[in-house]
Amino acid sequence: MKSFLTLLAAAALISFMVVGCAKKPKVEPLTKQTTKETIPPVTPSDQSTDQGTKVESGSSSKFKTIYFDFDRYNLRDDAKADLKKNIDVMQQDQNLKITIEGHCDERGTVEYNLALGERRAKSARDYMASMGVKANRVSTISYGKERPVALGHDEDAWAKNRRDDFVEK
Amino acid sequence: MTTLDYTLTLNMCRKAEDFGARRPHPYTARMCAGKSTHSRMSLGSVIATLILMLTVCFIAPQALAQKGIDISGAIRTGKFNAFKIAVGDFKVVGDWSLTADSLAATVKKVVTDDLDFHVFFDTITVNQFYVDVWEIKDLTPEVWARMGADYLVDGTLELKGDDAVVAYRISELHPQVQEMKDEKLRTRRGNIRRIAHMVGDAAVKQIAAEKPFFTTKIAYACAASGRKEVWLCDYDGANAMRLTNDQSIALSPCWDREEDKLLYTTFKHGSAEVWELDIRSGKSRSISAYPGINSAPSISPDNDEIAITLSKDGNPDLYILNRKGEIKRRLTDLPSSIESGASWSPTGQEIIFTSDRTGTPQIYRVDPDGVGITRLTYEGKYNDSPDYSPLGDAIVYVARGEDGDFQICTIDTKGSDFGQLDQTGSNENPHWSPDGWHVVLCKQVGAKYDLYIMDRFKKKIKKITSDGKSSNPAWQPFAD
Repeated sequence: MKSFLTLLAAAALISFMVVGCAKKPKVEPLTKQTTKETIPPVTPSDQSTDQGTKVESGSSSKFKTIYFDFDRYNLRDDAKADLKKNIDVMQQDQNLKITIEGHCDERGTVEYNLALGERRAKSARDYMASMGVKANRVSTISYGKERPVALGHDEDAWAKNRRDDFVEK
Repeated sequence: MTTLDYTLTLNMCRKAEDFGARRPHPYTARMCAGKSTHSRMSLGSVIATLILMLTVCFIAPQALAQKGIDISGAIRTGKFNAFKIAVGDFKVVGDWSLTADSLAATVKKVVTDDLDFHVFFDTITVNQFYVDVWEIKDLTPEVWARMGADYLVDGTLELKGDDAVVAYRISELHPQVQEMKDEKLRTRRGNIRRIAHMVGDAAVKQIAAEKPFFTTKIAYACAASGRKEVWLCDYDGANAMRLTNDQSIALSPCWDREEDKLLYTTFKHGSAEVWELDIRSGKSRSISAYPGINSAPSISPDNDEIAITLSKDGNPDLYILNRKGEIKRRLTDLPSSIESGASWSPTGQEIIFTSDRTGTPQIYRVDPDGVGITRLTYEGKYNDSPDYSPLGDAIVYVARGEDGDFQICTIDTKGSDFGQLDQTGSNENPHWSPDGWHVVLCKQVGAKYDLYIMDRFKKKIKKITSDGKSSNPAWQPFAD
């Protein structure tokens, strides 16, 4: 029995080696490699989150995230209150520069949400400007619905995703 | 890997007129024309068929009545009866092997699925009762006719080295069996699905005299590799492959009208920019990288202009760029609303888009010079993502229903004749097939986003991806 196992292990090892040699990753001759941008091999690996996009969002610790209603980019009263706190932080440290990231919930199409996120970021920027924060200290970017912080598919998650994140540069 | 095989030699032996105006497609494998041979009916099967003909009640061939009629008009008025077609076996000839048998089964399945999906066709399946009662061994055209088919596609498959040779024939079964077309197609084994799609294409062309789409592709955004990248698959979801490797967010592909290129939106340099990707070489170049967002590109029918959303002047508005990305003109100029999601009419005389100028997103139309803005949708509080039919007769879009779900709807180009295509689940980004009779869309079921295709009249829907992370489809237009 023992010799049989040894034999089996040896066979497995040999076959592993043979396969290892034979199955060198074959490079598909797709392009002449003339550019930086080449077509990668298909890798249906799955390291992603529920929604597919990696979550790397959220405001820097100094700042408060502000939230919006569905399909709206006007500032709610609670958003204005938090935005004022962010403005205080900006005024205390005149060297601070930030990017306001506009985000949306998953409902509606990609393209419309990109535009909506842009409007949300600019609503906050304009409000900050009206309160004396110089425009050259604040830039904006929209991620549309591509970077949710909450991965659920209900109103609770959606409410958390309709937001502006304030990120220190 | 049976995906796009760029290494295959282009060698179109087949007569050019076989596929009409469609130019030789670069994905096409080697093919050779030739007359196929088919065994004659055996005496036994003739007798069996005669008995069947005498005993089974006669089924009127509806298809005959449709010859020479305007299918489009008939479908619209509900007077169209789909062509009843049977897909018979593709018998292995030459040396039989398991491989050959499985390839032959694949051909049959792909052709069946193609024709079953197409709005002009109903597929007829084997009536097991007839077959059992009459102990039928061979499904001849006559037997198929008795089982209700008006047309038949069948053929043979033979392996020759690394190649497979498929010989197909398309037959009309009424008033008597008559062969309409036969052809031999040769390809590498791994490319067998494409050959099967070409058989389906031939049936559509031969029987319905319509331009077929079974060999077209769908570009889409997919996060199966971890990040959202632009992917490409066959129209039926097979042969999915990733095209971009931006490692950020890539989405909203839009097809070039002539070449195998896509415009798409990417965040690879931080914010949303529009790039052009050459599918075959993998090369990409920046098209639009103005400050703010650059998104939702749509290429004009003459292939010369891009309608796009830019926020460089402070607010998301529509602009027209040339193909290099230089701004030619601004289409909309409202200081406090979103204008996005442009789509051209096939004549190039109109652009439709989404605007929230009244407080909620609605669909509008505008002339390509920016005048004549007219609102098209008034029902509901959320209408978005319009796509202008390549037939020029309808607009497909998403409407948010009372229950909060997003449904696929259609209107005519004046905003009337409201219709609903799909009311289940939550849907987004509907996009017409190149023939204008079918639609691809993204449907969310639970936490999963997948692509579905459906036809416009039978409304039969079919799921084509299953990774749960696919969205943003764009169906390849006809290249003509």
